[in-house]
This record gives sequence, structure tokens and C-alpha cells, in this order.
Amino acid sequence: MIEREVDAVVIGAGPAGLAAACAMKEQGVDPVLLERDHILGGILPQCIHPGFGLIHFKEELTGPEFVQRFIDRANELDVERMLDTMVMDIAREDDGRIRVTAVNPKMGEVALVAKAVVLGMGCRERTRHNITIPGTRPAGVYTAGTAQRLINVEGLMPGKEVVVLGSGDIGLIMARRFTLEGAKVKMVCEIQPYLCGLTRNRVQCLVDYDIPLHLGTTIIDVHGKDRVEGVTIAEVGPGWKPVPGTEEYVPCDCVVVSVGLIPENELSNKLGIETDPMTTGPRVTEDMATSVPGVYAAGNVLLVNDLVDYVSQQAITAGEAAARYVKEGAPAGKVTEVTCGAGCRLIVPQRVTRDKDVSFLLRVTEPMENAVLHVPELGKKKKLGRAVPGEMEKLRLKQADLAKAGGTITIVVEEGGE
Amino acid sequence: MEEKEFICIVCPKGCNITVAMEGEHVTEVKDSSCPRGEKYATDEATDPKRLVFSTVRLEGGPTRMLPVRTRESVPRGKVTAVMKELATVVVDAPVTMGDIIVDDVCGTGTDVVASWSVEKRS
Repeated sequence: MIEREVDAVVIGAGPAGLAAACAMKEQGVDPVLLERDHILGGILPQCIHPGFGLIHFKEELTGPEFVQRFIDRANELDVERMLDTMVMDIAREDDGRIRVTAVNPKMGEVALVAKAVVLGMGCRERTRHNITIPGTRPAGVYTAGTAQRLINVEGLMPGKEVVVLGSGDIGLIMARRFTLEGAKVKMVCEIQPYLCGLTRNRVQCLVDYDIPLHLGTTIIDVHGKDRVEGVTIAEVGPGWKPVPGTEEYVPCDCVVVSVGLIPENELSNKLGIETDPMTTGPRVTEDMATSVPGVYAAGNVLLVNDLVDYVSQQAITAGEAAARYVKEGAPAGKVTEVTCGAGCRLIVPQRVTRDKDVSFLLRVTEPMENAVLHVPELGKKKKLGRAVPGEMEKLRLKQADLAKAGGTITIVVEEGGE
Repeated sequence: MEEKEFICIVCPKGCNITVAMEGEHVTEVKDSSCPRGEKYATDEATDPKRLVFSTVRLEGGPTRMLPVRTRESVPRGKVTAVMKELATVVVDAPVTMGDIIVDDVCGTGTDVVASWSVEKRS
């Protein structure tokens, strides 16, 4: 087995890993970027639609265009990368360094012993089985991301008559994509009583192509032995229970499931990193430092972000902090825990030192028309206006305010009225 | 005078924009929070336009398909024609982001360009 001592390892060469690796290299630390695919870019090369980069690059780019800029930068900086490389294990050595064990077809097993690691593994899709849709198990049931990869990267059509389950942005975008490639999208079903994706995607993906949207409706049965032949849909009532008498049989040869994403934290768990049950990702500081010294996390491994722009910003923060750790070791400082109060479903970072201004991303628990955010311990208030769980809210707290904090601050969001 | 309402698709904010029309002409755009939204709503009321993004076959590259986009929006009625045109296109690697794949696609005056760089497969 090949073994090497390195400054740093970045796991995953999607938008998070690329931005973190570039940020480190710019700080004079040499990371090795590990990627299991044979190309760089993570999920973005298959996200061929625009909507990326408005914050980070101040212009609207497609997914490939967005990530190509980071790939070009990584090439300019000559960031060392290993493709086709799957990380199998990660462990902390007695001296505090992190041993990352990976395999690839050229080298076999390879161990990299690093002073710092940035986790950028992204997330995975929830599948039909995660949400336990009953019925047979025929071919033709895909997650939206798999269908997207088949069409946009492999050039294959997964079906001709499609039912999409889930009205998140990926589901809406795939409904349009299937239509443009000549398939008939019969409908998009959404179990929630409201649209989960952006309104503009309802307009440009469904309304433009006359694709019906059924809210408060889900798939209760999948039919077909070898190939999907149809689904039974039904309206749902209290407790998500199907309402008897509302069942409808819809013939189709393809079911696309777009029902959420889960941060990919098998490696984080192996390292014993403390995770947040709400984000399901590592608990981090404003430097994106996890509970294991020298290990940082950024992007969708941390929490499922609305915008890739947030991923890049987290990754640059993580990369710079990891570079400082390689050069100077861990920063000292008092720590304040950030907890979710009423109305706040999740927040990142979950832990702050009190020595700089901190930007937070958070989600509310339910739609609110005139939401007001409070931090009671600091006597701070911020009007959020219209707030929905599907769109992250931003909060910035000044160092001068954080300096007044004790061991804990609480984030409360409530309907503020007029 | 007639009023039409649109949900703006220019950015993720999704503003509700109202357009006042005098016959075929837009006389006023209300509630748009930026100039791009104002232009979108004006176009939407008179001549709706959309960006087209798709893929074309790629030979000799790392993947079978190459992502492409129209540089500017095309009339919404031409989207299907652009898709049909793109279905016939095959390009050879290497390709650099921004390379023109189809010049003046379907007479729309805009080019289809590569949105990704690929090297030749070794």
C-alpha cells in the first residue's frame, strides 16, 4: 500500500471540494483532492439549467459553467487531484493527524496522512424506499438526480410517460427536461399542500409546458412486474393518510422521485464527528470546524443548501481555516452554542467563537407572512418578512454583540404581525 | 387599459409583476424590483422569451453528452425548434466553455455555446 504524508486532504471534488482546495492552495497549503468520479465537478456537470452563481459571481450561470470556473482555477493553481478514487476509511492518529484510506484502479489502496481534512462529500437523494412507497419493484423508478444523469451525461432516456413525485426544484426541473426531450410528463404530485420549489420553477417548468401539479397528493401504489405500468395516486388527509375515494390510476412507464436530499456523512460518522440531528451534518463553528480538530466540512455534507453559492462560500471559509490550522494549529477562544428556539428548524454554524462577525443560514419550521427573528440573549431582532421552510434565511451577528453572549444563544422566529 | 400579471423567472426571488397594456403596447410595469424584471415582464406581455439549455452528442470526450445553452433568450415559440436542431448536432472533443456549437440557431440571432470544457479522452 502506498502511504504519503500530506498537508491536507479534501474529500469530494464537487463545488465544495474544489472551492476549499483552491482556497487552501491560495493560502500556501498543498491539498490533495480526492474524487470518486472520473471527472471533476460533482453534481453540477449534470445540472445544465441556469440559476447558479448570482451571489458568488454576480451573474446567472448554468451548473457546468459555474463549476468550470472553479475547475479552471484549480488547474491554474495546479491543485493535486486523484480521480476514480473512493475513500474507504478515515481515522484519527495518536498524534492528531487524520489518516484517509482510499482506493483507485491505478494505485490500489492508498493512505494519505494529513494535518487537516475538508469534508466535501455532498448529499444523496432520498429514494422511493426512504419514503416507503408501496407496490411492486419494477424497473423505471428513478430518483430525479439519477434520471438527470442518465439524460444529461449518459444521453439515455429513462422513460416516455412520466409521473414525478415531489415538487422541489429538482423535480420541477426534471419535469421540464423530460418534456423537452420528447417525453410526456403526466403530472407532478406533491404530498404537501404547497409547492416546495421556487415559484419561478413552477412558471418556467410546469406552466410553460402545461404540466399539471397536484398538491396534497401522493403515489400510494406502483404497478408493473418487470417495468412500471402505472401508479395509483390519492389525495392525503390528516397524518398523510390517503383519503378513500380519491384514488386514481395513472398509466406511465417511468416514475421520478424527487423527495429530498440527505447529507452524506458515513465518513464523518467513522471519525466520530458530532452531528446535528436537524441538519444531519456535522456541527461546525463559523470556521466550518467540526468537533474533531483539523477536520472541516462545507457544502451539502453540512446541510442541504438552497444555492450552490452558499456551498462555495462555506468551502472557501473551510479551506482558509484548514490552511490556518495546518500552519498554526487550532485557534483558542471561548465558544457559544447556538440553539434553535421556536420557529427555527435548523441553523449553521451551530457553535461560534466570539471574536468575529458571523453569518448564519437558517430555516424556519413553517411558512410565515411577517416573520421576526429574535436572539433573546443578545436583545437582537431582525425582520425576515415572508419566510418559508424551502428558502434559507440569512442572519449576521456582529462580533460586538457576540462578545456579550454567554454559553448559549437561542434563535427564535415568530409571526410578527403588522 | 388592460393589466396582466406575471411571476418573474429572472432570479430565485420570483416577484409578482403587473404590466399595464394599451393594446399591444406596454405602458407601465409595476412592482418589479429590478430592471431585469421590468424587461422580463415587458417581453412576457409582448414577446415571451426563454433561455434554452440542453445537451449535444460528444465524441471522444469523457462523457457521452456535452451541456450547451443559448447565449441569449430565444422566442418561446422557437424552443421546440431549437431542441430539434440540437438533437442533430455531434461535436468532437476537446471543447472549451463558450465555444460556439450552433451559430445563429434557427434564425433567432443567438448562438448555442458550450457550457463546459472537455478534454480529448486519452
